[in-house]
Amino acid sequence: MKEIDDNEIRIIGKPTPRSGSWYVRLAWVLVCVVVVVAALALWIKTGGSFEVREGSACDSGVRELPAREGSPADESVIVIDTVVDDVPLTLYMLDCLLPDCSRASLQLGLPAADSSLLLAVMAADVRADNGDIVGDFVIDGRQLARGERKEGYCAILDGVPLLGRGGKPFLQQALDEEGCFFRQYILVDEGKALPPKPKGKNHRRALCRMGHTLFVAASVDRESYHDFATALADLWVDEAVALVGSESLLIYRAEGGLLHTVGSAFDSPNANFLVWRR
Amino acid sequence: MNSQWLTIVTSSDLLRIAAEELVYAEADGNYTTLVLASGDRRVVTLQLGQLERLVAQQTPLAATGFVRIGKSLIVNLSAVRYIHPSRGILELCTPAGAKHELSASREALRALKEMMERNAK
Repeated sequence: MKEIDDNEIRIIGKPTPRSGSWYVRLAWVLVCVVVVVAALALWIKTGGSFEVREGSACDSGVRELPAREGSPADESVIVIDTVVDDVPLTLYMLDCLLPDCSRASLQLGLPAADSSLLLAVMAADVRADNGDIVGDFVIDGRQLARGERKEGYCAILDGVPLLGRGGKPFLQQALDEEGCFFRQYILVDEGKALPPKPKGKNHRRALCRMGHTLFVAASVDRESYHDFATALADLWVDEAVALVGSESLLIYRAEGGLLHTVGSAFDSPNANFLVWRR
Repeated sequence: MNSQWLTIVTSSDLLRIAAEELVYAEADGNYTTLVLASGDRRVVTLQLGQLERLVAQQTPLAATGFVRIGKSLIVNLSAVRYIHPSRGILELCTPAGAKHELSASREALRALKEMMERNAK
């Protein structure tokens, strides 16, 4: 919900022309219907072979994504503009229950803009003073930075991103299985907004899981973590982990196959990207 | 019309209020004082923004009968009796006749007065 100034009033429950939460929900229902139909078609095509990996008892809040099977389907990123709680958002939909349409990885430096690139977004924060990566950071089983202060995590195991709060078992698994792992602020955990302490407004981004669907959410305007996290929770996101915000670089392959960029990469050897390739 | 109920649950208790019973709510940091038509005052461990969200979610039909005024107040529009923006006074009155005099910013009260003027036409 948007903050209010002492000199303002607002009617409760009355949507502003921009907010349109009813329309947002209708849009989500339509998206879900499309996803379910696509998943059902794929399930029939593959002989009903979706599997759900067992979760870890130490991370009961984390529900894992389906294993990837079947054939590639949509090879572009679906971009949705919406407004929740007066917070304009752009959603970059990645997964949509379409197994094998992409594999995720974590990498240092700018991702090669080749034909396999679907989506790239800056992942872990880099300290301005010494250029170090903030928090546990693992690429291909090699730990390049340590730190647990930020509770949110994204682990990538066998090309599948898992996100949530805590994540120690997945850190170890990433180390053991040559996976990837990074830490960021947790914004939404089990559907509840958990805005981190830092105040102020900036362009925010987050990796979000809603059921079996993954997407990157980006605020269009400068928002506080509180408003951004609350908007994601009100969007019915199950988990959301922050990504590098501000004007950082995001690359996505739009419908039609062209790569689009948003923002710019900052000059640091430790600038790192969460990348999806087909 | 059937009542719409506002249910506030904490780990230790549950408070249930018919929406029309709520005269106003006043913020006090992380707490909010609910003033009811019966004269009861209840302090709940909710910030005013959280209460605002609850009102909107749980009582969608009644919610538009409430107005958030600045950072500190949620007011039942049907209880508004008197507004004097330049003095910063807002007077509420319950059906039983109990009066509550509140203060708010002049700008906010001016906006409230204009809105209620428009609705009255």
